Amino acid sequence: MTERERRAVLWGSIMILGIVGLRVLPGAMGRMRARQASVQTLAGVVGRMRRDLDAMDALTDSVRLVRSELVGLDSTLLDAHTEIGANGELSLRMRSFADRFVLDMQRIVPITDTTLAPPFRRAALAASFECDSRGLLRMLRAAATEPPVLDVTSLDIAATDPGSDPSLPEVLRVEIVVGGWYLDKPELP
Amino acid sequence: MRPQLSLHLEGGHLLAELRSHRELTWSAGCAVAGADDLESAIIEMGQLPAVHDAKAEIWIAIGEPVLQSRSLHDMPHLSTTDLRLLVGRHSDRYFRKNGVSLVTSARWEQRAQRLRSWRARAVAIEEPWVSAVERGSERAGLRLRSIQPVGQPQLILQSSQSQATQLVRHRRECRRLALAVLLAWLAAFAVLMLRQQSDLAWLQEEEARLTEPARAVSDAERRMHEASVAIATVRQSAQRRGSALRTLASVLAALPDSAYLTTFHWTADGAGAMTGAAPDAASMLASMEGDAALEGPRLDGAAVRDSVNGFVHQRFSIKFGRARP
Repeated sequence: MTERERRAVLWGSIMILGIVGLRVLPGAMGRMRARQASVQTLAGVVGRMRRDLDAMDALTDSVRLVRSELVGLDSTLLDAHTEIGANGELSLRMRSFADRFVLDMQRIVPITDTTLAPPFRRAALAASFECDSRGLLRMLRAAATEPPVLDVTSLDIAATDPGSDPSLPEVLRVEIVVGGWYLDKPELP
Repeated sequence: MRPQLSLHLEGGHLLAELRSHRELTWSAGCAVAGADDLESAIIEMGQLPAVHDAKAEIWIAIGEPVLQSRSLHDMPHLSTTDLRLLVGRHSDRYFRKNGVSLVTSARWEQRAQRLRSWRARAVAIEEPWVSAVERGSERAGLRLRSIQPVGQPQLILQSSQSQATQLVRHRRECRRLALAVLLAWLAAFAVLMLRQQSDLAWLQEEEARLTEPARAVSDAERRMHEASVAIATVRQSAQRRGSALRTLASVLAALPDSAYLTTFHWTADGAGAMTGAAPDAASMLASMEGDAALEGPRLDGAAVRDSVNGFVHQRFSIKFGRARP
């Protein structure tokens, strides 16, 4: 190899090393760093997934418990799975109270209740009726004790003729809002 | 530590000593008339089992008359390297040449340097002697560690050919070392990249395998949580039932004889209002205040005296529950 050739090889090597050092190497390092970050992120995700799967046994126990608790709630819920059905059930209950406690039912209007606790939904209705205080108290007692759970959220009472002769029959005008829970989706988790 | 074959050439006599761990294990001596004799002697020593098997390293000290030693005064103040170059270039000025080239070396003498009198010690040996030592060592298969003048252990003598060979060898070793380091780094980089790639592939595979089961578990957990919240909500609602009845019963119990209500309003947050008439609104209010079912009962405005059917009453308006801002 002549001196001229040797110099050419030397400068060529320096150029190649320069390009590798200044262009290729930083790019490769950047790619490696990005890949390392991906590896770490993925490792975290996979680790979380494994932990979730390891907790499967505990979850199964919890599902069993919740299932039994849901079954235990059966008597507190309205016997319906739709809003219309639940309103019908509520309406039926109110009419039953009217028959049993001599309430002069004048109006029953379903109210849109947006309260939601999946898988349960809430249905409510407003009722107006006239009665005496005894009938009202018996009706409220029945709502508070008999299944399903009826939740009175508003109560307005007005005496039509207060202070009148005690021998005359007492007439109270009552407006009440009653709600209850029903299972929106019949299937259990 | 390798055994050491120390050769001492002085006054035409060569003394050889083989030391292993600083203990003398073998020694011999012979007369040496010329460079060829020295080469032959070294080759013969190398063939001796005691020396050859031990793979000893040769250290040789050469004295007079082969060695020429000079004390040089008033030398220009140079570095040691430059001093050696100067002595080498002008060896014919300082030493006898006898028509052969010389191998020289030099050093500054410290004591003289401290006294600012630049004095150097220069030594020279005819190159055939040095070449004979180097050739002999090579042919005997022994490694030559150094050729030193007797009494000047800091000076090393080396033929120009040996220097050139050593320089070439040194450069080659440096190149090889640099190449090896570069290749090692490249190999490490490649291994790291490959390992990263395989890790990434394995993790992606694992993620794909676990995604569906993990999503199912996560979905079940979410639904479980929702169901638990829902159960708690319905239970709270069940515990709250009867609040209207309890409040109304408390109000009715607090009403004295001949008192009555005209209106009653109640909401699920426990707030409400009532109007009516009683003989003494203040005492009625006091009896209501002790009842847990009524939170914070208070008169809404002053009680107004009124007479109904011959009875004197106070008309009142009472609010209860948390006052709204």
